[in-house]
Amino acid sequence: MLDLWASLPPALQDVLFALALIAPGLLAGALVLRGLRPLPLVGAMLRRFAFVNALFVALIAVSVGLGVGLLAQERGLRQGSARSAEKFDLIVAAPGSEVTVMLAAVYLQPSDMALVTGAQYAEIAAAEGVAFAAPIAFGDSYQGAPVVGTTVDFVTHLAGPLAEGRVFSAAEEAVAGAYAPVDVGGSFTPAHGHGPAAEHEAHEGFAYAVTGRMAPTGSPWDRALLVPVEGVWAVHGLANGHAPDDPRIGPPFVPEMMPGTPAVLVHATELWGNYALKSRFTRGDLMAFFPGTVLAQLHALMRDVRSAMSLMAVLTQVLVTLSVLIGLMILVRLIARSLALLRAIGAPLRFVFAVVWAYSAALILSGATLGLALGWGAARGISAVITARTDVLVTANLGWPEAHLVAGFISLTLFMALLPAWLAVRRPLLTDLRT
Amino acid sequence: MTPALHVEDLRVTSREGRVLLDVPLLTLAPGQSLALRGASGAGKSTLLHVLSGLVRPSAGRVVWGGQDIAALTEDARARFRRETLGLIFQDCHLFEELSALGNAGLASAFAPARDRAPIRLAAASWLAALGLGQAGSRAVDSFSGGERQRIAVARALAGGPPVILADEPTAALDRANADALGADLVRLAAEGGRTLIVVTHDAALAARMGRQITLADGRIVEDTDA
Amino acid sequence: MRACLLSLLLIAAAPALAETHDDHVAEAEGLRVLHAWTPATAKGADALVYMEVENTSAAEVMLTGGEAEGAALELVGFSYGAAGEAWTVLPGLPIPARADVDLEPKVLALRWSSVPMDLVPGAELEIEVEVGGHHLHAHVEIGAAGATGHSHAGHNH
Repeated sequence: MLDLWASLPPALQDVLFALALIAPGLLAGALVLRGLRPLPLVGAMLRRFAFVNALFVALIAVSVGLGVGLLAQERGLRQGSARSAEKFDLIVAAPGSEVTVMLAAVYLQPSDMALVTGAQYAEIAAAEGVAFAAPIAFGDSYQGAPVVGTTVDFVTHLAGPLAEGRVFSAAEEAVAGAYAPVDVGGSFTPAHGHGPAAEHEAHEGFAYAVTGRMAPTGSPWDRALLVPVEGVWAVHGLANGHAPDDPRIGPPFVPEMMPGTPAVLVHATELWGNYALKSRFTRGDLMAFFPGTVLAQLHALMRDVRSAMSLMAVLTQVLVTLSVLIGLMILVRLIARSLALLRAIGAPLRFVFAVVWAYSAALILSGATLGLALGWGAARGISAVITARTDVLVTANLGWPEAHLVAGFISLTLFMALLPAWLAVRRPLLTDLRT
Repeated sequence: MTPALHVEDLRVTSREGRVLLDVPLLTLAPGQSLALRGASGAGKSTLLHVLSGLVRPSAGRVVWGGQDIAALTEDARARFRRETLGLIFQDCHLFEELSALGNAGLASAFAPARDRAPIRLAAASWLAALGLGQAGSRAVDSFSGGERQRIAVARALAGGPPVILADEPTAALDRANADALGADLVRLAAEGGRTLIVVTHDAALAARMGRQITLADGRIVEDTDA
Repeated sequence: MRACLLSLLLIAAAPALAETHDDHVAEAEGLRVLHAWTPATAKGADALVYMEVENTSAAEVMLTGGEAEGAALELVGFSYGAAGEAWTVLPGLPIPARADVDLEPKVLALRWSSVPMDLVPGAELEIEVEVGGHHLHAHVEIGAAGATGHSHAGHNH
């Protein structure tokens, strides 16, 4: 049985699991409503106590929305951060913290770090199986946007064909990220450093001209300004990696003329190449790592937090379910007179049971549907805030985990709604008729 | 076919042991009309509730057309009410969110599939017979007290029951409406050969019945034919 | 006297001790497999085996896979993106002369698909690692289900 399950495509597994979750509730409903037509009457009763019913629906919607939003948001954030790192196959840097280098080189959250020397870079670039080795030299900024020195290979690898203009071909040119604060044809003078401590006058007299704009990548690089690494070295008064009379930009660099770079992105020619290069450049004077591996480890650490949050969401829903149940029992007292009339004029007990259950089911299904929409809306809203703050494109969409959560909630509460229905048909008929 | 009523050794006692009803014998021929009268607390409504199967007696038999409803389960008594009785309450007991036709045809909601359409048709027909034919789709909260009670009468008749039980049907109405409703009730019952039992303080309505029984302290103290 | 006896006992036990200590190392012609381990895995699931492979020879060799209980072990590389974690089969991995390669969690592994029995913590299993045309026999230590490293990774042999 387990083997059969494992052999099914994941999408089919999700569908079957959702059906299995919602089946008990639907089965209970089918049995309760079999051969009966209580819905027109239930509709009338729902309209009678519209305000109270709306409160119930809102309560259910908020609790479902909380769980849905939490799950969707967390997955959106995890996927968005992972998507940002997809293009960064292998990073080589000076020995230190892989997380720090990853945050700086992939997510443009720069820190001070030791440099990879010109000789080391030359060794990396010349290694067998390397398609290209791109320096990533950060440290400057413009209006909050990182200014990063690199090569044409990196620009093309990161974002593909430009959305506008052309890639830089001289040390004073730049390519803007999709949402960077400078247009094609514009120019800017970088500040030294970043954030409130940036020194805006440090590079006065120097300007980059923007020649092109990248297509969106969904990463913090969309706000960045990419310049030739030679420009970064030149603006800091350093050698530019080439012989004095060599006007070109890009590799190969002269090792003795290369000031160094905090990180190098390495892209291999073959699928297995990155793994071999990682082994080769993991040694005393260099550190090589896969950002995907580091991110996966971080996300695994966060998984415990996520589990705790999911548990909280589930507990919240259980509490709300219990509250809904108690509330339904109270609601039954509101409609007791109507139920007593039905019994008095000869409605079978099964019909009265079905009316009460269908009344509860209408509230539960309305609340769950509204909650699904609320959760989706909340996740989208929070994602927009996170995207604006971190420049990591976070898009929270509803997926199977949310569907499973809602299916399980609906099924459980529909099943529990049998209790108030059972209590309703046990009420004293004449007493209710006289109220 | 309209069933005859035979009540024998009927007793209803409260939880504290107080005798609420003590009727050794009561019979009613099919198609007869009967008014139950007496002071408040005399047991009139209790007797009506027992005859309709809403209350189970502490002892005795309540036989309608050969069937002792006192021995039936709650669901069986509900079925009996559905198939045999039309109930009219003092307080109309209408569903405020349904239209006049929706209320009159309420029994179609829980009737077997084959009976739903006929009940709705009958409801419309009875509303027309009671002067509300054009107002079927209006919400009931727009009707006067007399009109609301007529809707309740239409509801009681829509299932085609051979027996009508009414508990103070004119108590909430003014004189003119009470007289009109009383006349219609008696006429419609007689036209269908239906048995009609009403609990009433209304002397004019009681006078329209073929027989009057007066209760006091749960016992029949007077039984007269019109 | 007592010291002599103790020394004799220790000497007599040394081969056994050495065997116990070094039975997670397998070597042939300059190639060594060290510290092979895998987390506990339920029957039917995929097991990922990690190890260190040293090439002290003067020639580059290819690590291509392995074998366990008659089943092939695939060399797989880890990737992580928006679609989540994935292990991709690699045709081989070159190990340069006088270099080594670490097969470690979320980087590289030998994958044993649908293991035929439960791999329980504390037990060992026998595999063969195919590298440089050789089949190196290796003892694999089975660690706890959530283990992220060999029980005593980091020490030298």
